[in-house]
Amino acid sequence: MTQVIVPALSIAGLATALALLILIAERYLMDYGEVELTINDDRKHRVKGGSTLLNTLKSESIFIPSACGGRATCAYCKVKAVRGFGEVLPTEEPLLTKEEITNNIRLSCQLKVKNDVAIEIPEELFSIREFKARVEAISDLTYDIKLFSFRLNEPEFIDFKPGQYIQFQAPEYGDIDESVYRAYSMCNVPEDKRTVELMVRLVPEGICTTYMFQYLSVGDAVTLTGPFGDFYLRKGDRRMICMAGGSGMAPLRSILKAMKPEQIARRRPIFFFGARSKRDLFMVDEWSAFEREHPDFKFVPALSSPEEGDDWNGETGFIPGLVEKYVDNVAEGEGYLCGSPGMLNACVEVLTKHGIPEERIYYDKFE
Amino acid sequence: MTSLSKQESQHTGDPRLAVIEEELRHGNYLRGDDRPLFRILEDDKAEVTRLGMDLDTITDKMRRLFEEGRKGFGDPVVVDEVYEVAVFEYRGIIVSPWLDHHAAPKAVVDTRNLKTGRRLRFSLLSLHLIRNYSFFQGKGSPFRINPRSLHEFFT
Amino acid sequence: MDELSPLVIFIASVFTSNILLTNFLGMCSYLSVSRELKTAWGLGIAVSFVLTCTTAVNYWLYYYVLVPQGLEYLQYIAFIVVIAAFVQAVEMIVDRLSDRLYAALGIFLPLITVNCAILGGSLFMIIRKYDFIQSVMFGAGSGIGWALAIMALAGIRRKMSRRSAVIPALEGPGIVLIITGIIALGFIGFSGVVQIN
Repeated sequence: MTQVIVPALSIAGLATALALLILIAERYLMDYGEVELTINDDRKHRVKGGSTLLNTLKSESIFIPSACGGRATCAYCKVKAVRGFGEVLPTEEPLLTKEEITNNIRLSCQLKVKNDVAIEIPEELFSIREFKARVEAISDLTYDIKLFSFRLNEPEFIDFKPGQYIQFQAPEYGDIDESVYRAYSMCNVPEDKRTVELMVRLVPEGICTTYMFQYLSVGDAVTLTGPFGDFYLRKGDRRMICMAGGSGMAPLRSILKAMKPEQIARRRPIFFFGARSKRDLFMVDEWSAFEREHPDFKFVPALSSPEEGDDWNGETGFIPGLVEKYVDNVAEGEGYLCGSPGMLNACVEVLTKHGIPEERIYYDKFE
Repeated sequence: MTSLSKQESQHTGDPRLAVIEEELRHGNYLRGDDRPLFRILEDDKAEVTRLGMDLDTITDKMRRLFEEGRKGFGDPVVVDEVYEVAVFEYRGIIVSPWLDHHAAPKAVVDTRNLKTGRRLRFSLLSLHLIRNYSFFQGKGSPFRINPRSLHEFFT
Repeated sequence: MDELSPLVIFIASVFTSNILLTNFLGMCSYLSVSRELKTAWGLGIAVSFVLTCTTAVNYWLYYYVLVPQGLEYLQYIAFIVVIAAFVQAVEMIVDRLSDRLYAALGIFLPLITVNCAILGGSLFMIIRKYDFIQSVMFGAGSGIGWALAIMALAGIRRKMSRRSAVIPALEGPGIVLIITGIIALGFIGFSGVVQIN
C-alpha cells in the first residue's frame, strides 16, 4: 500500500510546490501595477497596466475607432505613441508605412501598456461615447432594409455631425458566440439629441444584420458607440451633388434635413438615388415633400432594371450617367456620396471626369 | 501571433493553426462540421489534387467574374458569353479569420454557367481563403464550396 | 563512466553530440520555427534557458529526493512536471521582457514542454551519471547546440527562399529534413575532436 501512496503523494507534492512557485512568479512578473497614461501632453490618467492600449483607453471611456476587434487588420486604431512603448511589433508591421513608423504612429490594439506612457490622439475622439440605449421602433423600408430607432438612456444625449456613424454592438446570439461591431450612419438629425435612427440593409449570412432583423425587438437594450466619421457637410457655397444607393441614403438624409433653408437655397443640393426596381425604393414621398418645401432641392431616383408591374416613369439606368443631364457646371460642385464600394468608384469616376477634384468629393470609406 | 504563410498553413503541425481554428469556430466557418481543421484541410486538398485543380487559375477566374459582375450593381451581367454574374456589394469589411491582416470587402457573387446551367455562389472572403490557404470552409458553412463543385463549374 | 571535464562535455554537446543533429531530439518546434532567423534565435535562447535550468533542478530532484526514497522510476513524471513549470515561467518572463519577442514566439513556447530534447537532456544526465557541474554544462551545451542547429537552418532556409526552387512535394518538412540530414553529416566531421557518447 505504501508503495502506491508514497510515490503518488510525492508527485502530488512536487506538482503542488511548483504550482505555488508559478503563482508567486505570476504575481511578481505579470502584475504591472498602476501606471500613468498621458494623453496629448495634458490629460493624465492612472490606469491598471497589462492591457492593450486600445482596451486601456476604453476602460477610461476613450474610444478609438476599431473595426476588426483587435486583430491587427483594419488599422483604424492608429495613435501616436510618444513615449513608453517598445519596438514595432511583427503584428503591426504589415499595416504601418515607413513614414508612420518614423513618426511613431502605432496600432493601439497591439501595443501593451506596461509602464508610464504618453500618446497623442485627435481631439475629436474625446467626444466619442458608449451609449446604453433601447429599441424604440423598428419599421420596414423595403423588403431588405429596416429603419431602427433607438432611445438613448446613458448617456442621454448624443452630439454628432450629420453624416457621421455609430458602431452597433451585436451581442452573442444563436450559434454566434462572439459579439461584433458594425458601423451604421445616423439618418436622423442631431436636433433629436436623444434618438439615433439607423437604416440597415440585410446582408446574406451577415452576423450583425441577422441579429438586428431576426432577434432584436422593441424594448431590447443595445450598446452604441460613437459618433465616428469624416463624412459631413463642408462649409462653403458650392452646389451639392449627392449620390447614394440602398441604405446609403442614411447619412445624406441626416445632412440634408439638418440644413437651414437658406443653406439649401444657396447650395441647391441635388440627390441622385439609385435602386434596381421599385421595390428597392423608399421614402419617396418624404423626399417629394422635401422638394416642395425647398424648391432649390431636387430628388432624382433612378431604377436600373424596373420590373414590368412597376409602371415607372422616372429615370432609368445607373445614377453616374445622370449627373451630366441634371447638373450644368459639374466642376464647380462638391460630391457627397454613400453606397457600396462599386457604386462609390463609379460615382467618383464620373465626378472627376467632369472636373471635380478628388479633394472635393466626400464619402465614408467603411473599409 | 504572427500570420501564417500559405505554405506554413499546409504544415498542419504548426501551433498557430490551433489559434486560427479557434477563430474559425467562433466565426462559424466550421459550422456543423466536427472534423478538426487539419482534417478539413487535408480532405479538401486531397480532392483538389485528385481533380487536378489549379487553384490559382480558378481563383483568377472567380476574381474576374467579380470584377466584371460588379459593373452591374446587382443586375446580372454576362461575361465571356458563358457566365451570368450578379454581384451584391455591401458597406463594411469582413476580417479574415486566418489572422493574416487581411479584410475582405463584403461582396457576394452569384453566378450561373449558361452552357451547363450550374450555379456558383461565393463571397470575396471565401475566394481569399481558397486562393491563399486552400480552405473551402466546413460542411455546414453557408459559403462553403465543394472543390468538386468549383471544378465542375469551370469545366 | 570516465572523468570528463565539464568544459569538454559542454563543447561536445554543442558540436559533436549535438542533441538535435546527432541524437535527433527536439525536431518538432524546430520544423515550425526555423523560417525566420530572429524567431529561431529567440526560441533557441528559450530552449537553452529551460534546458540548463531543468537539468540543474532535475539533478537535485533525482539525487536528493527520488533516490533516497527509492523512487527513481518516477523520474519521467517528475522531470516533465518540472519542465512544464519552467516553461510557464519562461513564458511569463518573455511576455514581461519583450512584447516583440512574445508576439513572434509566444505561441511556440508551450511547445517547449513537449520538446523531447528537454526531457532527453535530463534523462541523459542520469544515464551518463554526470555530477552537478557536468550536468549543468551538458544542459547548457545541449541547449546552445540546439539553438545553433535551428539558427543554421533558419539562415539556410532564408537564403533558399530567394534562390532555390524546391519541388512542391518536398516543400516544408520534406526539404527541411533533407537539409538537417546534410548539416548533421557536416557535424559528423567534428566527431574526431571529442566523443562523449
